[in-house]
Amino acid sequence: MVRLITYLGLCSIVVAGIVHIAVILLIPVLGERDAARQIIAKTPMLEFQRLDTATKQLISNADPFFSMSVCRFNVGENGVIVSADRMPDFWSASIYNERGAVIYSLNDRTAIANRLRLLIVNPIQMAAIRQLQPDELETSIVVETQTQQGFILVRSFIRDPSLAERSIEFLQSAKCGEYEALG
Amino acid sequence: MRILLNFFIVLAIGLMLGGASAYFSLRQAHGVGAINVGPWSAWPFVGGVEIDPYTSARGAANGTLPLGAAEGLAFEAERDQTGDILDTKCAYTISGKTPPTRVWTLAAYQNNGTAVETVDGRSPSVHSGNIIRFDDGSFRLIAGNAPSSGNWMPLGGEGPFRLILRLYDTPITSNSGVIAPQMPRIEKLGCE
Repeated sequence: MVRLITYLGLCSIVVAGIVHIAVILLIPVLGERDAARQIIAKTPMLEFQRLDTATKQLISNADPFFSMSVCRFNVGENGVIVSADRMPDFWSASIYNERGAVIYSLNDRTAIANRLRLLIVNPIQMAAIRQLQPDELETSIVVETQTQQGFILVRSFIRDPSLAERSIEFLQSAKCGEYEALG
Repeated sequence: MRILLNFFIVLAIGLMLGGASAYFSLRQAHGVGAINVGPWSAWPFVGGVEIDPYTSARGAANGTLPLGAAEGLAFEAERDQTGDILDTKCAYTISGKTPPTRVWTLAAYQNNGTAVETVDGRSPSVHSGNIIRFDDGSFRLIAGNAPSSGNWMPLGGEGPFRLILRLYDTPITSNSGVIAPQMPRIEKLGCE
């Protein structure tokens, strides 16, 4: 009897371990609250969309002092170019892969001349860019990535409600599109 | 028959133990992959591509998106300094210094991922630019339902909440050793 109980107990622990690992690994695959998955499902391709009070729900625990704008992209054949006007206060941006992991991030001080200008390319396009030496190389940060699909999220700090307009204009000025020079 | 019964017993215990241990390892604030300072926890590697499965599962289950390393680092607290769960019925002082950073924001959230609802619809949040500080750069603010003098962060509603202190453009994300940074203390003043 004692041997049977010990045996069953050990088996249970092994099963519990397998279940534990399976649950942890399956949550990102099957979870419905996953912010990255929701963004990919609900935002248009190559077009910045502001996450206002309605769509801010896509992301839990959003910072109330930041307005955000998101653009979903597919590196595709030509790569993606992202740009925005100047903004005098703090802003930051991150490029996420489709699973919601950050590939690259920057803020206004790490950007070239404090401007949001990014080129997102795959390694093959990177080689083409090195040969072409386009003007954008001087003004843009080139991000080489293995991921085809992802999204870029731009966050703009609203220091005071009276300055919200400035942040919104900055986010509205943000553009993302196919990088024509490689076409 | 006997074997089948044993099989189901093993399966039932296994599912329960496995599910519960997975749930608690994600629910716990001081979870896997975190750095902890007093009641605060941060996941400095949450943004990276080499994200560990626990941190990844936690983010997916909570519906949050991590900040990139160049953007900043978020610290979460769901307990006060003595280890009691934060409750919107209580008032707290949050005092001390934050690690060096260009901008920080502090906000209170419900467990479902939305901001704590306050009585008059004010945002339960403050940032580094709209509080008053002492001469040495430290600050003291009161979070609670009743308005108070000095720095005040309104709370409201009922039940547990969590505080998230986000440090934007902070050097602590770039020194990978992450020396235990100085974080504000959260102390309970009293409850209604």
